[in-house]
Amino acid sequence: MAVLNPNHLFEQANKLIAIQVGPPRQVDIRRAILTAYYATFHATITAAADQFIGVTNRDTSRYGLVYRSVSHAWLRELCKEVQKPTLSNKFKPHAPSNGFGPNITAFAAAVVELQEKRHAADYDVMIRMNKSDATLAISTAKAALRRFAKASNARRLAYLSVLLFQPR
Amino acid sequence: MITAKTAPQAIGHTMLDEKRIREIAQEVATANLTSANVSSVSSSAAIDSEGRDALRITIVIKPGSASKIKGDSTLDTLVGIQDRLREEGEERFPIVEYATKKELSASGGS
Repeated sequence: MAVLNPNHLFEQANKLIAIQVGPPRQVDIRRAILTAYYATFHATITAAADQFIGVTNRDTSRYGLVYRSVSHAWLRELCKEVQKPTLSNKFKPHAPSNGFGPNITAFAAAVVELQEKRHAADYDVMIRMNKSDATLAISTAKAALRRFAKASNARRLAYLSVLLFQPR
Repeated sequence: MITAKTAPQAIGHTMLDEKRIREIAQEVATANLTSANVSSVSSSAAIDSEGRDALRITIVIKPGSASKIKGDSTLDTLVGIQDRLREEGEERFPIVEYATKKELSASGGS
């Protein structure tokens, strides 16, 4: 099992847009934005699989099953949901009594935004992406993971539970 | 009824007018990123990756600011803009992006 280290992904993203002669190429800017998003995606899925399967079981097939069970679309939907001032009825029973709180909410806002940028970086050739936006996307992604880590264990566990076990 | 502040969208969403969106984004951006880093803010209608109406908010930053601005500040700016727009009834998803004036005026591919 080769769990991707988010810090390595952030380093890679920064390298792509590091100072060079002239502005970075569009492919490098776009790849940096993609990588910033993937750092948050993989960090989140790793946290979920570590929580429910265990760090010491990373080499097992069940870890791989859990890791692959989360889609980008579901991550986005959940992140949009936890940002709502009032949760939908199907989520309410699974939320912490005092809500997901500002750290999870901020993390979720960043995930949705980064996923949106990632989609544009991948598919929208009608816009020109720039180095400033890529630089700040990387910074935002790092901050999002810090906020996720700062959330209380109860809130983080509630979020990860719903991420893996979709309420019906 | 169309008011000075909001206008109903054809498909039923609430939309703030461009001026109010810029005011909100400028206030939040300046509060979090400081006026030393923010030059101006613009906004335009956009479509998100799911095909829904969205807002593209561009925060124009000063040259060299991208490396000075902290990620916590951009994250607070994002959350602040989303919260303020939602409080005022705007239902479109805001896509917040950053650029220097030079980057905005750049043309041609690489």
